[in-house]
Amino acid sequence: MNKRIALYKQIYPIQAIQYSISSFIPVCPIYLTDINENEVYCEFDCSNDEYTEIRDEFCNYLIAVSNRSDHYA
Amino acid sequence: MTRIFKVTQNVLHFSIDTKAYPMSAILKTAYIFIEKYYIFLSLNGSELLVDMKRKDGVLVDESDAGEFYNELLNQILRVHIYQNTKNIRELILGRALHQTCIEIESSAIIETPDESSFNIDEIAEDWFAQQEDI
Repeated sequence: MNKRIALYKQIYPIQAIQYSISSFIPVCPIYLTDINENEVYCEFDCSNDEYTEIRDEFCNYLIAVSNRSDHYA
Repeated sequence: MTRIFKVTQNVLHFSIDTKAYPMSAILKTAYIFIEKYYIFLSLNGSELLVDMKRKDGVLVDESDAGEFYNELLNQILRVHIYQNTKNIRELILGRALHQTCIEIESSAIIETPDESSFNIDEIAEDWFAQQEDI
């Protein structure tokens, strides 16, 4: 099972991605496997059963962290 | 332009044109929806692809995307207000901060003596020479 997602730098700031990964380390190790001009690839080191739930929670958390740097009320 | 909504495995897929909607508004809208939905955002050229899945397992349909679009309009309005009132907010903040500056009373300021109020010859005279005269 492919446990890799592509995150776009135009959507999520790289700092938010790094912060989210470090926050999720106790739950599941996530590796930045590849970074190119537009995308950051994250690989989840977890079981197939857990993957979908962790990925969904991770993406929601990433959206929340990305919004922290946005200051309009 | 026809909007395409697709549901596969209880995940709703739809796209948003990033030329029409600012990215900050889209991200803010997504943030509001993460309480009830799992959201994943990706890009395809200028199209932002949104994948939405309900946390409680209820089936998703087009009305969920409609809710997202409505909130997106709300957020765009907020972005416009934010941009249009940027100058006045900075002015109000600057004025408020200026008023908190500590004011120094005029009596507390040490006045420097005027040069014409003393004679340099009286100060520069040798003390021993003065005593000899006495």
